[in-house]
Amino acid sequence: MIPPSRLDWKILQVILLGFLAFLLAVALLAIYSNSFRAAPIFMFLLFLGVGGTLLFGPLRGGAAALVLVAGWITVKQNIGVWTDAHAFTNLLELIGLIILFVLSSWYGNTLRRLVEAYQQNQQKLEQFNLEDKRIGLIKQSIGQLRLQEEEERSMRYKRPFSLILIMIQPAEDVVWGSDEDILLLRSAANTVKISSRRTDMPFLAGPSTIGLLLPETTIEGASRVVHSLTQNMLDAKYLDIQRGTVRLHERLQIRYGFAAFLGQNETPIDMFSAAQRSLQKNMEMNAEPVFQSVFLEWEKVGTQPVSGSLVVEEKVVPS
Amino acid sequence: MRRLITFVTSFSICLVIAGPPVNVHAQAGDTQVIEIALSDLNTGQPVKLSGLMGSANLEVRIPNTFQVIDQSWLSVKVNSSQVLDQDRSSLTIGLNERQVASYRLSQLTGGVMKIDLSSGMFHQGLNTLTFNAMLHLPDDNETACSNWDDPSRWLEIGLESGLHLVVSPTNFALDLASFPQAFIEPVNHYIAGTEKNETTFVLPDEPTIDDLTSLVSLAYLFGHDAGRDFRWQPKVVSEQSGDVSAFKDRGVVLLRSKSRVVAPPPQTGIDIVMMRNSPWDIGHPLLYMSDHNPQDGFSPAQLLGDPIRRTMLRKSLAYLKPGSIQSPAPFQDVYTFDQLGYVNRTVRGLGESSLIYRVFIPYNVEPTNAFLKLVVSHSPDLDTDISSILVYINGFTVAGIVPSARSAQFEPIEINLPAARFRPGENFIRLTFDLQLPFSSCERAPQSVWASVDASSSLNIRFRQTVRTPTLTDYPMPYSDYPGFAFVLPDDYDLRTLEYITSLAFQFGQSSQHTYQPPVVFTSSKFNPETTDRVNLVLVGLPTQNPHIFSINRLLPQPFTEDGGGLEPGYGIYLPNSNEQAAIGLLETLASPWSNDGVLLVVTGTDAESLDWTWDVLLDPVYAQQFSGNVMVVGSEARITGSSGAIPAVTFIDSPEVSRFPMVGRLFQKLEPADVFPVLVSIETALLALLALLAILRWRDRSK
Repeated sequence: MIPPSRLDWKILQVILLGFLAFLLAVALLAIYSNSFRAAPIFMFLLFLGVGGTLLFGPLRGGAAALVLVAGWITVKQNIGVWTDAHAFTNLLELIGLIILFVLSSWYGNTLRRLVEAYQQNQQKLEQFNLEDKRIGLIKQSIGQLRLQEEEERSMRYKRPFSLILIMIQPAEDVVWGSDEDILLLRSAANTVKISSRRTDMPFLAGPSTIGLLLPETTIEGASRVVHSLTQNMLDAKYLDIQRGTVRLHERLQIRYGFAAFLGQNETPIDMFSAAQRSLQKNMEMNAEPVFQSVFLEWEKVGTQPVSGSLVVEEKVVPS
Repeated sequence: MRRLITFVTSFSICLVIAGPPVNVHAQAGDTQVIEIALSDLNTGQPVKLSGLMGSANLEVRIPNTFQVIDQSWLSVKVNSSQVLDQDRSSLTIGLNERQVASYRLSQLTGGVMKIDLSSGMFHQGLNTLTFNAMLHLPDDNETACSNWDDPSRWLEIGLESGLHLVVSPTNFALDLASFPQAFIEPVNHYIAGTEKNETTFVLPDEPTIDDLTSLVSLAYLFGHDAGRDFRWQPKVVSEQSGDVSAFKDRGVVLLRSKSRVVAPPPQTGIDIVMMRNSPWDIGHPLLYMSDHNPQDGFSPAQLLGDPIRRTMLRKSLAYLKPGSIQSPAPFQDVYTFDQLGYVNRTVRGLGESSLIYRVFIPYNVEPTNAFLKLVVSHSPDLDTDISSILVYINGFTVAGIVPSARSAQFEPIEINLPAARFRPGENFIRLTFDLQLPFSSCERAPQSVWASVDASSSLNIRFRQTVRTPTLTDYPMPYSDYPGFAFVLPDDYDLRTLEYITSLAFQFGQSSQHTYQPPVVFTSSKFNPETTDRVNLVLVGLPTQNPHIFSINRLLPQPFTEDGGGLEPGYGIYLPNSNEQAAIGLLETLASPWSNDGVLLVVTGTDAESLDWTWDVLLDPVYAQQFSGNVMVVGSEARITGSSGAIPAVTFIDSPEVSRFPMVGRLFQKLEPADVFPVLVSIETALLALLALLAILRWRDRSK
């Protein structure tokens, strides 16, 4: 088998032309030896076999091709040309048919490998463009895809996971300067990266929202992550050209939205919406922003009972 | 004038049937000479004797209507190997197990030897002429005849040899017990003055299809009893022909000829069949058959197909009442040789000798597995190490076995037979024994070596019911098989066409196993494919004459042009000049469009002359053995006139029969060469089917 890297499209086109010529030869031979009256039947079988081996590869397609060859012989018996008088053309026809199916199977396999290689290349190219370079976080669309995968995985294996949305807003009586939101968001994102575990995945969840995907993490684990994150936020500083070193919490305030999948559900889940509802609820309840007081409203997803209160209150005193 | 001739002929026939026999041609006391070449009794080959002791039996049947008188003789011309010991070698001739003469070989080298035969040695029925030769080489004393099968030990009874019988007609009264054997006596071939074994059928002036059915049914029954290789020539005349010569030297069948004057007067509503000696030749039979209602689609001749009814025929007159006709017993898994009609059979003598068994496989039966349980016993002297038994099916060697040393134990030997070697219709299993002795001796009679096949031996065939694809290779099947067939003639048929179909019915009868369902005849206007109970049909005539041929034109392997006068191009028959239609005779077979398992045979041509060519070939048994494919083309270009007349150029073409393919078969069978659209549709359907399959697989993968 020629590796795909050594096959370019031009070679493939030449092979395609040869393959089509052989297909035409076998089709003409089948029409010649079985008459034009039986041509529709044999063309149906021929193209079904070629298409099957092209699409389904050598294993499944080969099995289908064997069934079709048996069908081919049965039809020939039925129409009375499977006789000694036609032995030569029958043999030629079957040999041509088998070679054609093998060729189409190889050609399909090669095409499939080429397409896979092409897709891998495309994925690699896309990976280079995964991050929002200004903020240093995975783009929202990629984050959503990853979230979707995690939802499917957790559903399939019945494992818990959590999602935290972190909304960045200007602190009270603070007006951000030009491009300061980007600067603060990048600093907050950096703090989130530092505070999260290796398995966690922070991503850009909105224009001023950071998402943090926590695989295999229950509410309790997520709460610890939030606690650690809040502490780090309080400690975080950034360098402002005009003001010098500035503590992060002096310029921004944070609200959280939480969603946790409890590991069991029959219907598809939507963690992002749940986390958004939690965030919305926290805002509607007019909870204090994090740096003064934290009011954590969790959106629970799933049916598994969980011990403890549904509402977790935690006070964080800014230093 | 014509009415006068009709009246005279009818009156003559009336006298013949009603009154005492009118001796027109031959009567008791007249002598006739029958000259039979011995090669004719040996399938056309000279009688050849070989080995230390060679023997051959020839059979000749003397009918009850003749007796052999004393002037008969046998002429023998012997050719023999030059290296034989002429003084020790001898030839012994026997007749009906009595020795006629023995000669040293040296006495036979002169030329044709005439050997007188006493009339007392012959008897009516089967007579067996035996030739036994002891063929010695000069060194036999030294070798003790160890080279008994030396190829130089041979003797041939030359082609000049013959049996000259002088016979005189007897007063034997033929009656229905002699039906139909009296019409098909093999010896009639050789009676001086007659060229063929002929039978004249006399039809009414305006025959109905019932009369035609009687005609072909009787021919079919004659053929069944005549068996293979019997040459028979029918002559069909109408009452008005007045040709008395058509009644001489042959059997005569009168079908409903002026039944109103037949004696004894027929009872109302009952048909009669009557048989007696022919008034035109006392040695030949005359059969008369009435039909009280010749328009009802029933012929009394059909009843004669019932073997039980036929066995009951006695005396000269029988009344035939319509009744149900039995059907043959279904094909079985196991047939003992006894059930096949063979008793214990024995072969004797050193060297090779064969026993042949005939097995009939119905057309709708396809053997899937077969084996032979052979119960063989043999003489104790047999050398079991070098003796062998070879088994052939239809000429193909399928097994070779060594006889067991336990000569008297009847344990069957099981031999697997390839099922594919069986064909529909007649099959022949040949057992060839090569018997050898462990010692050499000129004195010990080689005839003491024997092997016997017991009648309890059985043929076991596992089979399945099948619908076969029509092909001329199977000819004359399915027409020789139950449930019979029908001829469909043009409305304006002539007497020659009737002679053709009568000959064809006879041929089909020759290969038949049963006669339960003799053929019937329809004219095209009387034939309704929807109502007929015959699934197999023989359509006869030009497409312009027989509308039923034209109605299936597009289904024919080789269709005709719209005007019926030429062949559609592109179907495999290429004319040298496509602008000019050549005269071409065609025999085509195809699946019946009117029934699921029926088969059609179409005897046709582009004009009347070419139709005759088709009949010539179809009725020639030599060609019948070569039939293959599903179209036979009888061409005109290569016809060469030889000493025996025109030799037709015959080509066989195998055109696929698509119409049996489920659902779309008949549609595709009607396709024309330029129809590309169905091919494109089928390719598109294949691609759509693939896409659907792909979608189903994707959906299944996602739903997991």
